[in-house]
Amino acid sequence: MLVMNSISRIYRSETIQTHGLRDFSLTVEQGEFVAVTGPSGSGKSTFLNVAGLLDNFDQGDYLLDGISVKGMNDTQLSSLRNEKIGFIFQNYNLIPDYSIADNVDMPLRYRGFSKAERKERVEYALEKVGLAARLDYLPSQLSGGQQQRVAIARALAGSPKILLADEPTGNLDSLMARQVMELLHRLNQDGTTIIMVTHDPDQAREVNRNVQIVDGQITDAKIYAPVEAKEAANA
Amino acid sequence: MLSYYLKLALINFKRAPSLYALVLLTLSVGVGLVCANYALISVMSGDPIPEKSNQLFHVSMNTWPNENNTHGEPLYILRYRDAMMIEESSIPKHSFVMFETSAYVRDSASASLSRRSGKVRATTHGFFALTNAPFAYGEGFSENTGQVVVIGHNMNQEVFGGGNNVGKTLEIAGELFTVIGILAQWDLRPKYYHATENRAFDQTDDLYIPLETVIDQNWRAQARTSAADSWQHMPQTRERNVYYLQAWVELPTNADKAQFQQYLDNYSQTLKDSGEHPLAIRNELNDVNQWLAKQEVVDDKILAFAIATALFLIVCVFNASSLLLSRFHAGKFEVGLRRAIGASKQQVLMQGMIESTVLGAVISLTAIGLSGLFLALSIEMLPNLRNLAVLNANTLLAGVLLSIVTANLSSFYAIYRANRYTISAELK
Ligand SMILES: Nc1ncnc2c1ncn2[C@@H]1O[C@H](COP(=O)(O)OP(=O)(O)OP(=O)(O)O)[C@@H](O)[C@H]1O
Ligand SMILES: [Mg+2]
Repeated sequence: MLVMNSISRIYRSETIQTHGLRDFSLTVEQGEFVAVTGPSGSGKSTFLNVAGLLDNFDQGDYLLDGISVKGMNDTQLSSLRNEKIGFIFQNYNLIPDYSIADNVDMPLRYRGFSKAERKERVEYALEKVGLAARLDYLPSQLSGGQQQRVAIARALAGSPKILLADEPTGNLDSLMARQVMELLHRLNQDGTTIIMVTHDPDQAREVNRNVQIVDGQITDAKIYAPVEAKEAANA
Repeated sequence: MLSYYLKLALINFKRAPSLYALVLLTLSVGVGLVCANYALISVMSGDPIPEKSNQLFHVSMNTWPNENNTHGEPLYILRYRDAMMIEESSIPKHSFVMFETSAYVRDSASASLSRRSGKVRATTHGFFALTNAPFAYGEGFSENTGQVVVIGHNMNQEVFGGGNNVGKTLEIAGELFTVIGILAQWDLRPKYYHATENRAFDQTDDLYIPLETVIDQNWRAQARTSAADSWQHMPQTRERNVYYLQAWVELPTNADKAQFQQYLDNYSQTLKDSGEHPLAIRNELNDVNQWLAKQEVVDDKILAFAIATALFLIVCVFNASSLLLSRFHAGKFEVGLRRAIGASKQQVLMQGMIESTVLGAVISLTAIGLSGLFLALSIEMLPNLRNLAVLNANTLLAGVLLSIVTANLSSFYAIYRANRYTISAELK
């Protein structure tokens, strides 16, 4: 699904060079739910941005769903992003004066779907996140958890191959975070590949694969042991 | 997609109505001024008779009888005998010689004795066919004599209140004239047949009267006159060296023109042979547009003003541009989001340009309204612009295009900036 080979991303300013990612290699299979953890400033967001084609990289190869993205122009990258990737942000990033339906509709507009198909997809996506009844609400009329679920519906509406989430529950209290996590698990069970950056060890533990980034690279050192390992240790 | 972009444009306008109103006002004033100026220039430089402007020629000759001609060579005014020589030629398809004067007019059947002043074109009969003068009723005269008159639309309105008044009698300068023709509204800009003495933008004439009749009535030329002989009464000018007539000829082909030039030169040579042509032979035929260029009917002051208004418009564009840049900063997040969910730079650019174009279309309405206002104000201050200050189709089209272009220019920098930064920077 996603193959990164020796990717490096260097931020250059006049005086300093920062390695966002260095010699970064990772393969994620179709249907995996990957939690990405690591200290602040280690390169987690950089990884997601590169994976999501929001940012380019300096060296290495990247295959998304079997397609090498190296050397693609902006239009190609944009349509790839539109078709294959759904983003979920910590701050939801809903447009405040658009209705819930219009927010979810946004990515579909760039896909060239017919009006009927867009309507169907918007309703289906909102149904999946349990907000089908709130089509005409404004984001400010929803709770934070509900807003994040709208953002997830927006990410889902175009039936992407992979969801990229950067601390999706970072702004939510534990109850609402729980609802969002359950939703993500459901989507994963339906076959969607998910890569999620999180600071929450419990969240990391409940998914089937953990990846830890330190200083722009994947490390083996386990700071959050997966649930099975923990249980094995206790036994 | 277009309808989506239009919808987004409307949403954006609603988000910051006062800012967009300011942009609209700024650009409307700039475009409006440029348009008003362009309207003047476009009317000034327009072709008044496009169907045959290259076949109509003004005649200038160099027949001044003394060596010391201080009046400029060749003269654009002719003496009677030279003018008659032109009238006699059968080479031109049509020709006329004329001068301008004025007279007081009243409806002879009216109970009121009040009279109004009218501008008179004293002309030979070829005038109407050569200029394609538009008749509403009746026709022109076919002789250069007789107590007959063709009246212009305005005079018909003022004296008779409009309608067909052919056959009625007018009292003109105390003499009775029969109305044989009435012209329709005739806006001739520039009025090429009398473009000298800064009269190119006078209104067309009120009264058209046979040349010989006017000379016999002793109504004096009210335009440039130069005389080498003394004279007192107009009929004397037929025999004397008094220059006051302007001549126009219609020469459909180049061969006609060459032949007529030869005809004039032969005439001058005959004069020279008999010792009556002391100056060099110089007979000039200028077609309508050459003649108007020569008269510099497009005023230098207007051109200078055009540069000033264009500079002002550039300042307006910069102002609008900085206003719109603040819109861009407010909208950065949305652009980043759209890019993240799959909009290409091209699509973001397209969205921006369509928004600008919609804005430009709205601006064009206010700008044209304002330029109408500016023109009305300029007429108020400079009444002799009255016949000039009109918004023709050219100007309206230019106004719409200019509005759209300036709106796009103004937002160019903001759109450019929106497309420059990395998408991830705005999204957390
Ligand atoms: N646009 C940028 N310009 C320069 N340096 C950057 C930029 N973005 C990130 N960095 C640097 O790259 C490194 C990795 O940043 P990144 O945002 O990926 O960290 P992170 O793991 O997501 O941290 P956090 O957990 O705090 O979100 C940091 O040192 C950061 O300062
Ligand atoms: Mg981060």
